[in-house]
Amino acid sequence: MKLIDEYRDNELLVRLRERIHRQARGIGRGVTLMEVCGTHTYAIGRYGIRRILPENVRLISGPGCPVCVTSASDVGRALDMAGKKGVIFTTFGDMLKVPGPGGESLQKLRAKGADVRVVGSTIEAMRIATDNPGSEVVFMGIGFETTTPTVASMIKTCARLGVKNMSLYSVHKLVPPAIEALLADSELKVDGFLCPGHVSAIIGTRPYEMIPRKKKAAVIAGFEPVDILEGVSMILEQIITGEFTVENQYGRAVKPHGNTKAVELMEEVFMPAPSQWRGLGVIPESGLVLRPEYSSFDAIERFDVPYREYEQEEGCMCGHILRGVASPEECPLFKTSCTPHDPVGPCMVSREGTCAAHYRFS
Amino acid sequence: MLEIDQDNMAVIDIGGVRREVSLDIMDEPVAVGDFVLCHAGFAIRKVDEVDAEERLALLREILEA
Repeated sequence: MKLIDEYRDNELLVRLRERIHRQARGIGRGVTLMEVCGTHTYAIGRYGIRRILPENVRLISGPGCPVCVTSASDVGRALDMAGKKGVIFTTFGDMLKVPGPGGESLQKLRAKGADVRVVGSTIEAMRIATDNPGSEVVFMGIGFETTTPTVASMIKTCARLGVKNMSLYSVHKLVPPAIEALLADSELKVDGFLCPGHVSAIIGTRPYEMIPRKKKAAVIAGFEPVDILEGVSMILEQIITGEFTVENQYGRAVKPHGNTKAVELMEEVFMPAPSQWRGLGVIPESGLVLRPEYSSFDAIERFDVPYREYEQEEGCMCGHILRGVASPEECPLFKTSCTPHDPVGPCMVSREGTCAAHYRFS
Repeated sequence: MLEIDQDNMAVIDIGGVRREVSLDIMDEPVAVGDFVLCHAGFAIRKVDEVDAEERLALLREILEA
């Protein structure tokens, strides 16, 4: 396919690999790079990128898989809403298997008779609401800046068309505050970040400027093998020269200003709020809640579902893995009691989860 | 992109599969024949074909040097 095949060109990949090995020999010491995007995690696994990197270049995954960073308490709240009579609960597919309190999940709740439906877009969720005027339709919004504008668009359309039986349970999160939290974590030793391509298509290149200020490399990259290897090579070059800056490898989709309409939509409908991240804890201003003008669409208010604290499953190391301080293979549950078929922790659920990618490709 | 209707919805072709996407959050004009990046039923950006080709040409040059 055009614009894809060229970025999988074998000859280019061989040469890029040679260049990376040369650069790594020059650096000498071990370097650790983090990819902060679930789509990168999946692509890196799929193309076997880790296996062709030099020994002293370690690639670890960060908190970039939306369902993985959703806290057990937020899953618990979703279960409380989905269990209400007359509610049709809609969300993206990955969310269904995520274990909440006591191993309960939306999928298990559906098996017990709750009306839980998977949608591919907010347009589908809205269609369910207009097709079922006698039911309350809740959409659980998960994801980062790539997804949130589509949800903001849904809320605005509902307001414009007077769709009153639709509401939103927002557990949306923002990427830059999570990177800030990682940068402040003294346990984490990362030399450079492979920044997310699709999130950046929306927010542009500026929100990452705190990374080079901390003397770490930042490269926004695409998702084909050539993109990822070129991104790695660009990070290594920054480490070699000591000149840290935000570089954009994915210029065909990412412009410095991003998608201004999408950002404006997001800011018009949502405002930042503290958010609980699995593994990272509560990060200030890292979540998104509806602005007062749109609070009539807030499912939490509409159904008055209280927040309850839940701990994650014992032995599960998702929290450490999401912070990049442990690898899936270090977790005692990995490939034993925790598998993609029957996941204990969220990192094993989504194909973008670090554990799921390691399970599938290593 | 194959067609665009009055409701700002477009039909796209992804490797032979036709899908409907909304253009509601696009901030740049798009036309039939353009390549777009899509996510969760929405087109989010036009793919810059010139940049895509120039980038590859530049990369080849760097790797040959």
